[in-house]
Formats: sequence, structure tokens, C-alpha cells
Amino acid sequence: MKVFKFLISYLELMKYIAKVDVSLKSGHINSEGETIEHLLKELGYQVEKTDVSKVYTILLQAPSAVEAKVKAQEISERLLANPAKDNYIINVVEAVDQ
Amino acid sequence: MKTKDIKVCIIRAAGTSCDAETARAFQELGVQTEIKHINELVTNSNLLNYNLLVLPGGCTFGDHVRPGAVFAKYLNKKLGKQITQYTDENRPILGISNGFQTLIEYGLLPGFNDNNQQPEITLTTNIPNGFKCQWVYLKNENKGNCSFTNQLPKDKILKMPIAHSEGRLLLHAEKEKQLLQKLADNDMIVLRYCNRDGTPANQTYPINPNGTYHDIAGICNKEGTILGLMPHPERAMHWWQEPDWTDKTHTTPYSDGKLIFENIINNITTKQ
Repeated sequence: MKVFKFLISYLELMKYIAKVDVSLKSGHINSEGETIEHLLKELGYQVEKTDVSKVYTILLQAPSAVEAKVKAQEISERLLANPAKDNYIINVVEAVDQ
Repeated sequence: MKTKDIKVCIIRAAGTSCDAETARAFQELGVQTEIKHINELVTNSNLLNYNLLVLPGGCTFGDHVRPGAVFAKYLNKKLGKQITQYTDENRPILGISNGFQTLIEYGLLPGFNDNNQQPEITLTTNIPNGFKCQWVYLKNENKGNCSFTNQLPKDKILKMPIAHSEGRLLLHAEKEKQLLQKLADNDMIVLRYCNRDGTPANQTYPINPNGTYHDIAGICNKEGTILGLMPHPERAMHWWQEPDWTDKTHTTPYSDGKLIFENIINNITTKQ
């Protein structure tokens, strides 16, 4: 019975893609962005500002999109973002099997 | 405790690269030194068998996510209980370069909040951006709290090399000054970049090689038992490692890095 219940709950889980965009909090110098900005200007582009952020794409299973976002938030706080310097934005979409 | 009975464990993981030099430096001082891979420690070792733990330099786990972040979480997951017990007994830990980054990511440095396992500050990309490999001057700013420098005179100037891309200490932008005050009040600032004559670098490149806040190169915890520093003392152990090694005026066979290792070994010898 227990195994049956587990299988049912497993089948009820959906696959989601959580995109976590980790960027520097305002007030901190984005030195990588500044280097790129400088080069872009050298290449003749009139850019005003360049910031660099990191996007993590995580495929996960959850009962709902809300639950998937909660899970992604936990991952972000535990590993992906450093609260001393980083902000993060999470975007969750349902995964479509190819 | 006799020097020859002291056991030092140098913990390595995928991407560690300064373990052999660090081991060589400790062996030179007559202590027992073991290089242990983290997986070996997980399966058949106990950290409590050691008198000093060292996290050496390198690029553990490819510096992915942030330097030291993956290694810190791995250590916490696999050896967290042992590390808590070890630090609760106020036993010493040294983190050099990537080891320093790992200690910060683990939450052991600065360790304002006990049992905190999230980073409270960060070591981030250098300003100017890029990998910096050069010799620097450092001033011992500690007033005696740090077990790794407490036998050195305050304001003692040391010469060591750095080699990193992410060594800029960064505090929460909105509470920078309060955190700096907290570091100073608890005597947690250990080494700061300075000019050859000891005058402050004042954020001037290349004296301050990475734009680090308040010229800070190394900090310890409140108890003074855990030290993290970006410069490499193991690469400044012998006179022949110095850039001017061909100069015949060297009067001692050792260089400034030895002072850090010697200091902690002396403390372990007298305390345990």
C-alpha cells in the first residue's frame, strides 16, 4: 500500500524549469561588467552600463509551480546567492517534454 | 604537547593545488603533516584526531557558483558535525586563499553569529578585474587575539605573494561601517595590505592589489582560532622563493611566511 501511495504521489509531480538569475546588489561595483563595458565602447558601441549576472537553469519536480518556486528559493538561499552581495530573481515555467 | 606530536591535516578536494607546498612548510617545522582528500576524511578519518586543520589554496570544484562555495557546502554536508565539534573546542583552522574563500562561504569567518552556516561577507572579483599574481606587503594589525600572529609585534610588516582573481573583501553595502567596527572591536582584522614602509595602502592599486575593503587581506574569528588570508605564506617560506632570491644579502634561510606557521605551532605546543 505504501509503495502504491508513493507511486501515486510521484506520478502527481510535475516537471518545472526554474531559472534563477543571480546578480549583484545595487551599491556594489560590478567589475566584470565594467571591463566588458569598456571593451564595448572600444568596439564602437555606445553603451551606458553593463552588468554581469549568472543564470542557473534547474529542472525539478514539484506538485505545483508554487512549490517549485519555493524549492528554487531554498536552493538559491542555500547555495546560489550570497546574501552579502547578491540579489536573485526566480522564474518558473512548466517543462515541456521534447 | 611536543612539536613532533602535533598533527596537521591539510584537506584537499578536486581543484586544490597548494597542498604539497603547505605540507612541506609544516614538515619543515617538525610537525606530523597529512594531506587528506575530503572523501578519505569522510570514510575513515576523524578531524578530532588533528591539532590543526588547513584548507590550502587552489580552485576547488572549478570555483563554480562562487570560489569556495561548493567546497564549503560539501564540507558542511559531509563533515559538518565533526567541524562543529572541532570549532566548539576552539581548535585552530587556517584557510589560505581558496581556503579563506571556503571558510567565508562556510560561515566560519567572520563567524559573527554562532552556528551560522551561511556567508556573512564575501570575497569577490578583484578591482581591477582579473587574476593578480604578485608580491605584496602586509601589516600585522592584530592586537593579540589571533593565534596565528599573536607572537608577532603589532605593525610587523610581512612580505608574501598573492595569486587570485577573487580576493576583494566585500561587506553588506548598507552596513559596511558597522561590520568594519565589529571586526575592529573584536580584534578580528589580522593583515592589511600596505606600502613597503608600512604606511596604509588606502585602496591604491597595486599596493592594495584587488580593491579589498579597508585594505583587508586576512581576518580571524572572535576567538582568534580561525584565520583566513588571501596571501600565500607557504610560498614565502624560504629565501629562495622570494623574487630577489639571487640577491646574496639574505641573512636567514627563511622568509616571512614561516612566522605564521611557527606562531600557531608554538601556540598549540603551549596550550595543549
